[in-house]
Amino acid sequence: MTGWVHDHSSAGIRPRPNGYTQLVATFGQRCSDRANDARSYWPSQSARNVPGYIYYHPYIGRNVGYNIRSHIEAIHKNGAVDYGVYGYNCRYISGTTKWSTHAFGAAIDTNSYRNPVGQTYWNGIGANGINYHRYIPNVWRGAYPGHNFYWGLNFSTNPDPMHFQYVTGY
Amino acid sequence: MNRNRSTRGRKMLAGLVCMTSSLLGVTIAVGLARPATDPGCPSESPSMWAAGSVSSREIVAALDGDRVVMVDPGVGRRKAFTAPGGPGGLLRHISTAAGFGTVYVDDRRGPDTVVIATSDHVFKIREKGEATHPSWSPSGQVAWSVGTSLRVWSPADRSVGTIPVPEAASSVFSPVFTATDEITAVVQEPVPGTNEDDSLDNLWRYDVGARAWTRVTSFEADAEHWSVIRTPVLAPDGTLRFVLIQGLSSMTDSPSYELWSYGEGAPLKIRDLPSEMYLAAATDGGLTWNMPGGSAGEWRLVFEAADGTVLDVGCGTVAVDPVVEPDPDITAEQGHPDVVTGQGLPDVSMIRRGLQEPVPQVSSAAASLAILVGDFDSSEGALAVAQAMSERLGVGVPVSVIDHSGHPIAVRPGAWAAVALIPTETDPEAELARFRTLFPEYAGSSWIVAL
Repeated sequence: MTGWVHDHSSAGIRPRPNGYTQLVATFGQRCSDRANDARSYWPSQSARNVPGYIYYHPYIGRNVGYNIRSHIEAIHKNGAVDYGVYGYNCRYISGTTKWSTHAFGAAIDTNSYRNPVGQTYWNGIGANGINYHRYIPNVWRGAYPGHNFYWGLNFSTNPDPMHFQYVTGY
Repeated sequence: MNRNRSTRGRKMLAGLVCMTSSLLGVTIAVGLARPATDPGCPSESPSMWAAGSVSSREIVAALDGDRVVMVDPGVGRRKAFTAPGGPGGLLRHISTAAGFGTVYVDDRRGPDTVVIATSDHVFKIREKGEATHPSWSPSGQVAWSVGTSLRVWSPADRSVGTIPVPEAASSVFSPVFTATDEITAVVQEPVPGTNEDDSLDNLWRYDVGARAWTRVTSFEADAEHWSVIRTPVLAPDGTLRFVLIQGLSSMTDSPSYELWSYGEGAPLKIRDLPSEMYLAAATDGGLTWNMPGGSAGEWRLVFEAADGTVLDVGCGTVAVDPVVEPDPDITAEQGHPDVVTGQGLPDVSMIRRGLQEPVPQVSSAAASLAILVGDFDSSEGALAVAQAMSERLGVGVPVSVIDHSGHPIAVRPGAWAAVALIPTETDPEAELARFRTLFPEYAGSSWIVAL
């Protein structure tokens, strides 16, 4: 990819909702037709070095597809991504009656195999065996230098380092 | 064409009879359905907490904000109390037992507190993390989940014991005493190829004396099909009632909801449920349900008598999770704005430090989004669709055929796709909706992609 640059305009990084009411107002109801209307192609998606598509809501389509996925591709760091990489998923949060943020198309899991739920740190080893440290989370998280996703590692009682969601308070 | 969007999700049967009224205490109709209107939750002036306020097995305790509400669901009578644990965080998951007391979880940022209110004391047990689903035993013990284990409080010596999750299971929740020395709980089992969310649950029974778990149901799941269990409750006849929910991870539809029973022998499906609903209690008079009350995320309590008569008995939660109130464990990071306007340029030196890489120049609205139709196994197939798109979209909309070599994040190797660029000043979702109206034949194979 040549000529790629960040898009930190308000179209590229849109307002991030807070709480269920704003989540639904922004992304619609859970498991809706809109929730998986955007896609991009990821290395090591379903298994190590087995690429595949992930799907998510168009509200974050420019941010995920262009700012994040293109970023990794453009600077030749596909090897930093490790499986599994998951997007839209019509499921419940474990043990609860709450729908996962994946069911709204508002969350992405990445490098899941090395970063399972409950793990209190980020394992930055990519599919190619090189340790990229926090390169991947830094692309996703925060306002700058990342792209405003909330990192599941910050869940106060049940850290989820693989998980990046575009909503807080839910 | 590779159609990934699933239309296989099972449609639910429409409600048998829609509720025709939502007034508290008014008998509504025969048959369960999602409440048709959202009447809101009227404020109730709470009384001071009174120990022993539960005098009947028919009383159901619910939580409504910072109040405990005792509900006699058969007649729709409610009485609100201030929570016995005093001001707290987000209150959830309540259970009451006549003669013993009431227990609920005070969910705070970080460790939670289990509040046990008996006839003469209020005990507050601070856990190390999340606590969920407390319930009473026939002898006054209380069990709850902390995810990777169950905890059991004994009224005799006020000790708290631990029951580890079954080997190879992910977590355990919703414990129910099916006898004084026996707990049946929902156990989450791992499924290869799935993320952290719930894919497969089964009921397991724990023999307190033998300190051993036994799997008592055998529901199955895979990376696409999921099967979960929610809100088991003990019925007066000693059997366990629970809601089984099954769906597909890729579905864009409602999953199936079913009422099941488990007693002696194999679990038994009782009936399909018309919509999303969870058990709150099973009493001599019938079943009490928690149902979503509308788009605002409110929970309603609905009583279903043995003869099928249904009564909406107002707001409240029993074993379901509040959704409107912000989760105290998932708050915005300090120092990061919730809303990004994108008007200013970022600190490039900060980007360099954080990413340890050369950073391309930042541009406003630099991204190109497109509506993609695909995937096609040949360039000819994509070209034919691109030509049709070009004819109907008009000359002002650039349409082309792409493959992986030129657009590696939009299309897989060995496939081709037709794409129509979306003008930067327009709403991509609106453009996709307009496109699908023009081309309904591509509704299931069109996506927003970045080029």
